[in-house]
Amino acid sequence: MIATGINYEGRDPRFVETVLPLAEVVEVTPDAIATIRDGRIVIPGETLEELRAIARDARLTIHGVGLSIASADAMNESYLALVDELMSSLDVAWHSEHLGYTTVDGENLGTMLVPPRTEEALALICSRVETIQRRYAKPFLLEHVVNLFPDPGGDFTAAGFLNEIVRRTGCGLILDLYNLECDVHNELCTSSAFLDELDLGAVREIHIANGTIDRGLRVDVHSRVTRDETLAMLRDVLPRTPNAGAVIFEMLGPYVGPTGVEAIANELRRVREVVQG
Amino acid sequence: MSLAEHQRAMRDLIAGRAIANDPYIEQASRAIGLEVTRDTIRGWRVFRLSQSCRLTTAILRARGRFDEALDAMQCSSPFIEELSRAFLESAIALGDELIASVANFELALMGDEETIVDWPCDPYEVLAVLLRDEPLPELGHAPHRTFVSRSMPGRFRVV
Repeated sequence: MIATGINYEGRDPRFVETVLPLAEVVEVTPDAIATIRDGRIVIPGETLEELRAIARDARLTIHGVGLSIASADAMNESYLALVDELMSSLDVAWHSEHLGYTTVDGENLGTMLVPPRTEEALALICSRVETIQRRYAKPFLLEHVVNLFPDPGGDFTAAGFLNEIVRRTGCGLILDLYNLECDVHNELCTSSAFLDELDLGAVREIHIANGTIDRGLRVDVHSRVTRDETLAMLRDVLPRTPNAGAVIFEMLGPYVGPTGVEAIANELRRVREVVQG
Repeated sequence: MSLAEHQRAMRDLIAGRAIANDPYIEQASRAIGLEVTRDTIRGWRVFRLSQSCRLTTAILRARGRFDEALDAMQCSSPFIEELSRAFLESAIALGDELIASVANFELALMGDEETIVDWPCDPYEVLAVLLRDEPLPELGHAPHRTFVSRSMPGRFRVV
C-alpha cells in the first residue's frame, strides 16, 4: 500500500488541522524548521513537540535541502547536526536529500546545482552516502534535481549516474516527477529515456509538485497544486515502481497561504485517488 | 576541470565575479538559466527579508533605497536570522538617520538584550505609517528615544 503525504514547515495550526489529517507521511525539511538561538543552529523545542504530536498519526520523514552532498569540499556539518537532533528526538521512517550542491568552499549559493556526472563526483557522493548510512540506521534516499543550466555532462547519463550510486551504496531513490517534467521542458532529457533507463526498483518515494515557467524555463518553485499532466504521469509510473512507499505532494511554506489549506487538502485527496487506482 | 574547480567556477559565474576559461562555463554564462537563477536567488531573498524585516523594508522602499541596502549586504547564509541581521546592518550603514533608527529598532526587537534606540522624530508616527504601508509624511525634527526589551509588555516604550 502506497502512502500519500505532504511536506510541513511547522507552526501552522490551520495546516495541521486541515491538511495533515489526510497525510499518512509528513515530510520535514530540517533547514526549513531550524532557527538560530544563542549563535547555534537548532530545531526549537516547541517544533520538536509539534512534530512528536504529528508523529502519533503519521510517519515522519526527513527531506533535506542543505546537506550539499555533492560539494567537492565538504558536506554541511551543521545540517547533519540538525538531522542528529531530529533522529534522536523523533521516530523517523527514512531520510533523503537532493543530489546536488548548495555550498562551495562553505559559501552558500542560494540555489542548488547539479554536479557533472563524472567518476570523481560519483566516488565522492557514494562515499558520503555510505557515511550517512553508517551514521543513521535508517534508509537513505537521493533525489535528482532540476537543472536550469546546460547539461554538465560527464561519464554517465543522468539516470545512469543515479543507478550507479544505487548499485554501489544500496541507497534508494526519490523519483520527483515534477523535476523530471522541468528537465524535459528545458530540453535536458526525455521522460521516456530517463524512466526507461532508471532503476525504478530503487524508487522508494515519488514527489509531485508544480511551479512556474520563467523566460521559457520550467522552474521548480513548488508554488502551485499539481497539473493534470503530472498526475497522469504519476498514474503511468506507479505500476513500474513496485517498491515506492509514498507519494509526497510538495509545496513551499510561503505558498501555503496564497494557495489555501483547503486547496492543499483537496490536492492530497486527488493524489490518494490516483494512488489507490 | 576537477569537481572543485567546476563548482568554484559555477559559484563565481552566478555571483557575477568571473567567467572561467572553460567551454562549459562559457556556455553556461550565455544560458538564460543563469539570469533565471540569479533572479530567483534575489527574489527569494527579497521575499524572505520583506517578511522578516517588515519595518526596515518599508522605510527603505519609501526612501527608494531598498536595492542599495540589499546589494551592499555581505551575507550568503541560508538562515533568515543571519540574513536579517546583515540586511539591517547594511540599512544602518546607508547613513540615513531615519532608516538607521528603524533598522536599529527592528534589530533590537529581534535580539534578547535591552536596547536604547534614538529617533530623529516621533517613532509612533513613523511606525504607524510603515505598518500600514502608507507614504511617509513630512516629519519634523523631534528627537525621541525608545527603550526596547523582551520583558516589557508591548516590547518597547518611549523614554
